[in-house]
Amino acid sequence: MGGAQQGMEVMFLAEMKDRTLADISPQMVTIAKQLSAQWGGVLSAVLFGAEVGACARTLISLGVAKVYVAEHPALEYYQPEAYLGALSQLVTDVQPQAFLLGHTALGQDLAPRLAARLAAGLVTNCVALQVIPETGRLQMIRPVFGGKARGMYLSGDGAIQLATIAQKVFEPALPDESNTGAIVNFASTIDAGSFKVQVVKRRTEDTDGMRLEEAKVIVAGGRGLGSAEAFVQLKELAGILDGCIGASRAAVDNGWLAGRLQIGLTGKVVSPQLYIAVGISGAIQHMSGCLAAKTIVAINRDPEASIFTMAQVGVVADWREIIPPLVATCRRLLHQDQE
Amino acid sequence: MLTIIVCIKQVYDPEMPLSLFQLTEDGKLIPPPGTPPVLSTFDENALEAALRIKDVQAAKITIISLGDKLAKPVLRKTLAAGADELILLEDAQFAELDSYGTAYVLAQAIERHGLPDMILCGRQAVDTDAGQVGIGLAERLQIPSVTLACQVEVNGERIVVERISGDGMETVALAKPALVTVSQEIGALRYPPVKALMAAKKMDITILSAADLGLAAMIPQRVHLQRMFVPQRNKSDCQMISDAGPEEIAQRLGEVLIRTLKA
Ligand SMILES: Cc1cc2nc3c(=O)[nH]c(=O)nc-3n(C[C@H](O)[C@H](O)[C@H](O)COP(=O)(O)OP(=O)(O)OC[C@H]3O[C@@H](n4cnc5c(N)ncnc54)[C@H](O)[C@@H]3O)c2cc1C
Repeated sequence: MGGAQQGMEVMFLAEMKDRTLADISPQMVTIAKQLSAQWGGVLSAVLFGAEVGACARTLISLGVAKVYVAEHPALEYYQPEAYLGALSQLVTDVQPQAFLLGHTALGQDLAPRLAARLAAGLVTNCVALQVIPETGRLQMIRPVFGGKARGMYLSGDGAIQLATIAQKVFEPALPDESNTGAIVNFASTIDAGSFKVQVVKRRTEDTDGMRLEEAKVIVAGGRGLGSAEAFVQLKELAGILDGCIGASRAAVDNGWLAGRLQIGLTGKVVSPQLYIAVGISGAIQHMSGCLAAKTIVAINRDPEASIFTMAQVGVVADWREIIPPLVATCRRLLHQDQE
Repeated sequence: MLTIIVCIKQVYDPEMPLSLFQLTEDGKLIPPPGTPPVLSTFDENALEAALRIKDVQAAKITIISLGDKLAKPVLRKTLAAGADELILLEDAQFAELDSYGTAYVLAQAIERHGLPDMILCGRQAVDTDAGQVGIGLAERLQIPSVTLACQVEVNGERIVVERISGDGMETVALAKPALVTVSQEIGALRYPPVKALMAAKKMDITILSAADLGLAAMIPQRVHLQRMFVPQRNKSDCQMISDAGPEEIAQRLGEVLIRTLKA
């Protein structure tokens, strides 16, 4: 394994969700492909789990030349020790130039472990990466100060560089059935009995059947809503538009909505077609979670609120005067359509 | 007695508007002179997690903070809130370490101090948001670690953590010693009573330099911060719907929404 191409691979961890590739994976292909072209190397991916064959073929159609596959029951769910053991073994064998992970829940947990295990450098949440031609080093740009500024980092000497890739920054790669590539099975010895962290209970949260990350419409509320009850009205609007509700951290901190519905730097990163922000001021820590939305609509009674510098459509008003007639209007307009 | 170390970073106030910062020629963002730093909020959450354990069982909480020019009065707040000991790792060499170097120095200090039953860190620092040091430290010390805790309990030899997972919540258990990174859901740091604030001013603190820690001249690092910059944000052309009563505005807004969805 490895050997022939040693040192010239750009590798990334592809993530799966419900037996198909997770959204981040085709985005990873795009940036990893650019970097491997800049280095003149091979693009490879790693897939863990059960029944990964179809996903491996999809990755090849997206332009991945080599897919390392490890199928093991202990790898079907993310377990840090299992993933870390298997990955550090593979990366040590192959010695890629760089190893990329998504800046997802999994990547945020795993990348620092892998970096420490490999004694490698890591830059998290990268929004731009390029190879410096003269030195072959990797330059990475990431948000700092909650997104107010950017930091530009350079990889060090020799060692493998690790990076996690921000979600929804790179366009997903598109499949081309004429692409070819190899699937390489690698055996990894996993002794689930040796794991030090035991999962006692796992609860997937009830999200009314829809995940924020996949929603086409999100109606988000902030401190300006004033109470948990107020979210009932947002829920009604979201329901009519076939969307989900979300919240700013201020709304979550007040206990008005569950933490899993928080959008932003320390919450979810979303990219709906339509993001309706109600009573949200537009702090950059919130906006960094929703700037990828196609259209941002802001309803805020403060004309100076910074959200109006980032939204495409704005209404300066008390939401309590706007939301009820808006619900009625949308219902009427959509109803007319069906007739 | 249960021993806990909480790692706390001092940072520029994350709520401070960017316009107050100055961007130097060599690409550093510096706050207005004289503004006191604050404790990184997630590290405060980590201290709160430790204090809640101390509320229900005998525990000794040690705070370790690493950096250069540390603001002692700000860090003493941790003692006032209920921590027992404050150790500052302070040296000009510690001014701009990367995550790798930071974990390296912290590990060195903790090994010298003695490995506690549990180490708590914030999920990420509120200035860099990198989220690496906690886990890196655990790997260096070769102890297991769990991230994103919103509840931490210690029952005898077992640490039980309620944590945020990708699509829900998880309860995990692990044996001491271990490291846990803490998320904001655990709650804000309690506000110390005035009397405790006064008393904390008089408590002894330990200050250790790189030499005290027996660190060689060069602390190993992996990545180099070239510079910081402020991204050009294209001010959006916000189409304002105005000059009408609420009903009319709602009507026009509704039409825009439906049109957007159909596009
Ligand atoms: C490290 C760090 C991480 C963070 N992560 C996140 C994150 O992931 N997500 C997040 O959201 N925040 C995050 N924050 C917090 C963020 O900085 C802001 O404090 C937060 O987003 C503010 O929420 P808000 O807009 O709801 O509240 P506010 O800023 O208080 O804004 C409320 C708005 O409501 C308007 N309003 C009030 N009443 C009405 C009314 N009746 N009708 C219409 N408008 C009204 C006001 O004009 C105001 O603009 C983070 C902060 C830090 C330091």
